[in-house]
Amino acid sequence: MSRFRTYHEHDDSPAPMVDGGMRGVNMRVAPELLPEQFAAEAVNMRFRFGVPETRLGHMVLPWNNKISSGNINAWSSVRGVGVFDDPRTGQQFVLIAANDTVFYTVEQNTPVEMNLPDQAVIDTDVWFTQAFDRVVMHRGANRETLVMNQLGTGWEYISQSGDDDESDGTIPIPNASRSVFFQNRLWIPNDQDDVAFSDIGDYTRYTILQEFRVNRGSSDRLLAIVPFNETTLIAFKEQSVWALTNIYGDLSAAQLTLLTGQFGCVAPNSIAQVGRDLWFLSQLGVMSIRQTEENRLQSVVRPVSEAIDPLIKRINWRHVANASAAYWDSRYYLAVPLDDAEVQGPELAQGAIYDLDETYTVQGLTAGATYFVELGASEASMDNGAQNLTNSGYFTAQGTTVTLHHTVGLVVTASLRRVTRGVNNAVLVFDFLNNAWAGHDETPGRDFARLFIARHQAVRRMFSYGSDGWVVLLEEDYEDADPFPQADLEVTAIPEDGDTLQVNGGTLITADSGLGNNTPTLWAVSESIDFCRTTLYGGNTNLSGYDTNLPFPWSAPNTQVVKLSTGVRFLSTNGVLPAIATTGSWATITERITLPIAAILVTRAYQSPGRMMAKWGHVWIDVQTWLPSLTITAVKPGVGESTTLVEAETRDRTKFDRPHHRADHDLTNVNDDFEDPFRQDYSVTLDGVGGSDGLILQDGVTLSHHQERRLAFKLNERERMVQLRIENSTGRVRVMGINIEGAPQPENERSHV
Amino acid sequence: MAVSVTVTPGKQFATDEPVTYAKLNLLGQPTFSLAGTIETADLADGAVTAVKAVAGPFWYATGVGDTGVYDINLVNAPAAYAEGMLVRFRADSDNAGATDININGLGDKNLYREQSKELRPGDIRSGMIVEAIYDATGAFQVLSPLADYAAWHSTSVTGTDTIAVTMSPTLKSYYEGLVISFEAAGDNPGACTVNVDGLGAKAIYKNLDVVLGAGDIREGQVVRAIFSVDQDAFQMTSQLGNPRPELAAIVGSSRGLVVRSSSTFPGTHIDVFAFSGQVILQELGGTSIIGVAGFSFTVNVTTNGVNGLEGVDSLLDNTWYYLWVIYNGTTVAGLLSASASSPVLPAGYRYAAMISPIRSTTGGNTYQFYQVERKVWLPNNAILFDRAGSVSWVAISANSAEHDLLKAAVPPIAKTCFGHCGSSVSAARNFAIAGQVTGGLYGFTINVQAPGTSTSSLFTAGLFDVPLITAQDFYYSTTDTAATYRLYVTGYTF
Repeated sequence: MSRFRTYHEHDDSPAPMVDGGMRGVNMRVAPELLPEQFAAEAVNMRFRFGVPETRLGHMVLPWNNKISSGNINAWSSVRGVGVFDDPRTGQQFVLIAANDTVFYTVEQNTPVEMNLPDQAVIDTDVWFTQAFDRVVMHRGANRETLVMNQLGTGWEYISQSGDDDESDGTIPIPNASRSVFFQNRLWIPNDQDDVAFSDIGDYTRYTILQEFRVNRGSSDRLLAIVPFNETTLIAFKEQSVWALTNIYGDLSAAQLTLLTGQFGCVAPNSIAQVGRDLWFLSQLGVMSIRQTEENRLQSVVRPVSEAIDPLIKRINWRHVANASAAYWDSRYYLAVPLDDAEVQGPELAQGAIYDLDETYTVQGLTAGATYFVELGASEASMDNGAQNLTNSGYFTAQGTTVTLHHTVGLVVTASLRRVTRGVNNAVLVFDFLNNAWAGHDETPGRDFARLFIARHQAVRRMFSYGSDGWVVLLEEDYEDADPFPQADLEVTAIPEDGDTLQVNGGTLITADSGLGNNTPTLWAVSESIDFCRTTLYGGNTNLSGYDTNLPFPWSAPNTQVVKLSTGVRFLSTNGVLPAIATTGSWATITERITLPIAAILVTRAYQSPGRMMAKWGHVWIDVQTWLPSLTITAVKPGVGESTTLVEAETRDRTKFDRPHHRADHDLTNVNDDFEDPFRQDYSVTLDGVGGSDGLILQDGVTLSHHQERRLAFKLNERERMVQLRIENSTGRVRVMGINIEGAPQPENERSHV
Repeated sequence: MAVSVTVTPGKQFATDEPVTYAKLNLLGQPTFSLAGTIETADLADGAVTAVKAVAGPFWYATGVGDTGVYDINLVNAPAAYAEGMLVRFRADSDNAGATDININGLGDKNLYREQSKELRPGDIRSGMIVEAIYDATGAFQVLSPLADYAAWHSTSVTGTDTIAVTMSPTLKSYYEGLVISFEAAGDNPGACTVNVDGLGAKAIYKNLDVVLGAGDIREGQVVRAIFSVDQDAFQMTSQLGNPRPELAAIVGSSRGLVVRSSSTFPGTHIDVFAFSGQVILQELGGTSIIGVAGFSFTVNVTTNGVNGLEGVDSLLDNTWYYLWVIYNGTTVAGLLSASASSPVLPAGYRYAAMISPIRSTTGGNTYQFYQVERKVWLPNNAILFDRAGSVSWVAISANSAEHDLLKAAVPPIAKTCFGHCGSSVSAARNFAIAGQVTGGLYGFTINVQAPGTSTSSLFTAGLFDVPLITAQDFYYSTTDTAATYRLYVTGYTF
């Protein structure tokens, strides 16, 4: 039955516009010109099977990281990662060049440090290439290449097999930054233009004549060579791309052909084999070798990234050389530096309270590291060693502390975060199943120095490591692993005498209301709750507290302590969530070990037929959610014009929508009704309700239920077109369909905005 | 310290953290790290079994030779030497003599062979795996075979009198009791020496200190010898190439042998046969003997070679020759040689025995004879014919003409000769014959009685058989000096 009983003579019936499914993103075409199935923008979204949904998150697999005394730590530095498939055992090992040496690891085993030969150091980025049953490790132009014949033996310098007398025309393996194993030869780009290749079956022997020169003499530097098919290698230079064809046998039939001189490769790690094609990042965007060949015939240059050209234009080309790509699950992932090409660490200052001497000292900085301070309304300046900053900006820490200045008792409004610059802070994603881009991914605090593929649970998976030293598994969880696990300890009541506190097995502190100042083991808790909050950190009249600058600080191992207005934040420095043990009822502890994935979908612009003004009425949005915090905004074409339809709406996992009188769900599942329908949210935590811990599985608990509902809004907007911006800041959302009604309106003759 | 297992949880949940399948999956994948050492006390008795062990370099390292000491650094250094401690090492060099080992710097310890004997030079060779156990005396005893074997053997041999032997591995020194064996490259011509791996030529003796005779070592023979420091020589302990002569086997002895002038060509052919008989031969220049039986052949004195003359095809006049039975392993034949002891045999013939003296005539023929085994019958050979008697003993050789007749009748090797003698007158006479007249009379007196019947023109006669104590000579005396005495030689033995 129609919702409109009658139409008047001059009424147009409302025109419903529907997006029942989406393939991907097209950012280049004006939103109102986009066809159905395309969104105007997507962040942290995937479009598999026609449904836009929050991407899966990153996860830390312990064995890919530094494990020390049972704790998982990030590597201090990662110089490269490779994969070694041992043909003798069928096992796959991940080789990690980090912490100035090389480790190998396999699932559920602690990484093992490998032997390096005398004088060998790992102080540059390295590249691993497996050749037969061994792996060579290139360490750049100034370091000898090493080889690993057996994991247990470790790495060795490479001796040329047979007669190593160079007078016979053979030379040892050249120093290089990378290589490729192709047709039983090791191919090494070893100079501005040269490609050296080994004897067949012997990676140690190279003859002086065994070199191809790719456009010799130009200033066009050779970056990489990559197999294209069984007999073709592609040579990527900075300004051109060449094909080395007919590679077989003694190579006498090999030919070098220029594919294009209009662009080259800007980042050797951006090259990825995608099916029978090679994709890579050029000055013009993401290019395809096959399309490059087709374009050559058509005399046009069309990047495959044309649909996300606005994103390509945001690439920070100064830092693009380290862009990295991988092909996994029929998707091309390209990690790039967007905008300022930086990521920021956790907040170190904001929310603290100024001490009596009108200062707040931020501790735990890394001398020599870069930080960004944004002075707020409360701050006058900041001391960084001998340097006094009076304006917001980047600075290099001169020591492990900086001191903010303002007024006693005020909350610190300055923001202070560590900054890592020149890194890949976003990942562009192309979905070959949809033949469309899926937008880009962002993760607060995490960058993606290299994407790589390795085996996990018997299947190929995509991993990444970043400047923070963490190696993470991508596309796995409903949330992202937090690079900086933290636990907030808030004082919500005055502790009673004898209540205790201990963090990570550090100092056992006992509350004592009879004290005016802390001692090395006693916490002065007299007077007021604010007093307790202050003395917990220390304050300038105390000799003890969690402020490490005090003469006798309380210890909280493996943490960096940040003062909060209501307590103290313990930031993990070893990747392990700080363990806070308390007695009494004075504390509220908030732990964070994962980060929600903030997903954004901006639809195409819905426009009435004939591009007439329309009266936009009902909007129905079908979503499936899991622990959502949903904000939906109607975006109109005018500057800054938008209408928030719903903001940060969450769903209650205890509430049933139907029947309205039904009692709440007990989160312990004691009533065995977890799977009952019509509950608002089916996400699960183990903490229950009201402090009752645990979850009783009963007849089953499905952890992945996404509850579906229809969101209905009425816009009552008169606009030429309207877009919908759907943001979900926690959990997951799937946008199943959008239906929007717009009734064309008669035009008047006046111009207006 | 015992083994500690560190388990790193695959996942740690924060309060209020939502649970997902991915997190639960990771929770089920803890990471394990093993550290520490399993000590003896950590293992139950019998806990370590063969089926749980995997072959590997247990207690094994490279032995780095350093002036009489092999330094061995095991991966896990023992705290101290202990009786029963087992060590294996690969020597990086040959040992030069008495040797010690030093495990992980615990100190030099003797490395003995045969419980408590110092090693000899070369007992350990570069690359050799040595296994030893520490004993109660504070030394290591070698368990593994040493390069200085109980018996060295080589087939790399050159020379027959100066025998050079190359061993693999090379022998480092001669020592008391060193046993070597080698496969001879050829027959030794007589005394010889052995030089092993250039360590110096050493004499090789048989029967304690007897120089080897020719053929004591035969080509292809495996010779075994033991070195004596006192003698500074090897004593050969293997069988000699020349078998010991059989005691009953007298070379040239025969049974049923007949040699005679051919009835068809009596002057030029000699028939030899022993159809059911046997003759003992000896390897010429050697000591091995062999018997040949059931043979016959004819020697033609006008041909050269087998069944003929040695090196010529005609006889010298009035010369003694000697007939040899020769044998090449398949064929029994004859050879007439001028030598009674050292003929030159035709090619391929190794065994020989002289069976008959043969006298040539003027004109190159042979005198007729008939011989059975070593007795020869001749036609009458008148030595004395109406010769004046002598009442005292007189030798045939006293008269050269008569002596020449005797030397033409009996060969120099004849041991006896026989015949008959008498007088041409019919009267009683005595005719005495003796082989020797001084130092003992070996002879007899024939009493010739008269009258008698004329026999061979002798009116009185008798037979004699006299030893030829002096070759081709004997004595006689008669009753008187009348010129009537006659003496005929009709045969001899040799």
